[in-house]
Amino acid sequence: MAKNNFGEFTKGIIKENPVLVLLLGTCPTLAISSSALNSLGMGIAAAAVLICSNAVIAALKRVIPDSVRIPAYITVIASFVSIVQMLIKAYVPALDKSLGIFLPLIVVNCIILGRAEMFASKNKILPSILDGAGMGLGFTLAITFMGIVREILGSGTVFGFDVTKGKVEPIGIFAITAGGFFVYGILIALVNKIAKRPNQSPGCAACPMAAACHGGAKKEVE
Amino acid sequence: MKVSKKILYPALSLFLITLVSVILLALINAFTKDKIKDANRSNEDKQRIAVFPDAESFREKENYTECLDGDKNIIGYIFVTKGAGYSGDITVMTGIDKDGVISGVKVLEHTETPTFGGVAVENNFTDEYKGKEAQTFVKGQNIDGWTGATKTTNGVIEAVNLAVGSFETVAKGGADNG
Repeated sequence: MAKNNFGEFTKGIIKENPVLVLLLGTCPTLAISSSALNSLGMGIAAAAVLICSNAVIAALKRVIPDSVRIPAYITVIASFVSIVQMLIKAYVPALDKSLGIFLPLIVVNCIILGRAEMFASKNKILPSILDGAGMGLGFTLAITFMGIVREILGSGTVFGFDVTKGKVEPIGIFAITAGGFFVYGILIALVNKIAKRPNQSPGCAACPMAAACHGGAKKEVE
Repeated sequence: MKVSKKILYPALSLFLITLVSVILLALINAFTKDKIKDANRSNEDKQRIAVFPDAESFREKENYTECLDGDKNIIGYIFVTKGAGYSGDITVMTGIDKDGVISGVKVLEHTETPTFGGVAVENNFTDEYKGKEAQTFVKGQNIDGWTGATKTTNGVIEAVNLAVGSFETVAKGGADNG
């Protein structure tokens, strides 16, 4: 069992990385990753919300009726996002300023609702917390790595420190969202190579979420 | 029995979840409210000191801020104005002392492309206004642009000119009253 739980934690880092394999949470990834520091802040904020919402949803899964589960999940998630937002505003106002609108928009980050629906609603509290932590870490690593690459290429700095600034002319396009797509596409290709996923997708078997969704045979609501 | 199970129970459980959330949020809001206010306030004062370093304290008026010395005399004014940049408004804070000399210009908020207009902002291109007399600025005549950030500098010039206009009204109004 312990080994199993550990698997729930590690799968989010590469094998089922929410951003690079499941392709969830793309919008904040592309928008925020123009600098490494913002990416890290975004990753940690989203991971905190994810862990808390997974824990609460797993705890309440027997109490929440199926017919209203989505509004119930959204309420839980939105509450945690508001809490995180208030705490960041109070204690790290600089981060609030740089994340701007994307901080409250964590509510609609697909990773969080996706894990609530796919995992936390079907599993016990501890595995759900580990799943949230793993997915949160996977998201943070992916977005921060993108931030580092884009910051070096686009501005010549990493976490605000000069690296190639002044020596190499920065490539401006990497600092804007269009450049984010370049880095994102190449990263996805790289992770697919590392994870040795098949080129073709012969149906459900190739999907990294097959285990969670039982090949679309999920029980119907009502 | 069936109706109550199908309608009442979901409604009730959703209501309870919302209720608990609201109570929790209200508690945390009460706890962080003052802290957030402080953070915003110290942030504002820091920016004001950046455009008007001589001021000891500030007094907010309806659409400008008065800069006061140690004896609470007005030694200048700070205006927050907007100009159109390359992608959206640029919010600019301009400090002008009571003799009509610009003490500092700072971009507060902008949505410019980080590598073009953003670079100009980071390099404090607005420093060139410092020490100039408050006047209508025209690029190439009494103010320089920043290469690669034409629209950004235009937006800032527009905003500073608005501030100069407000300064003339405020300073004149003050003279009439005094």
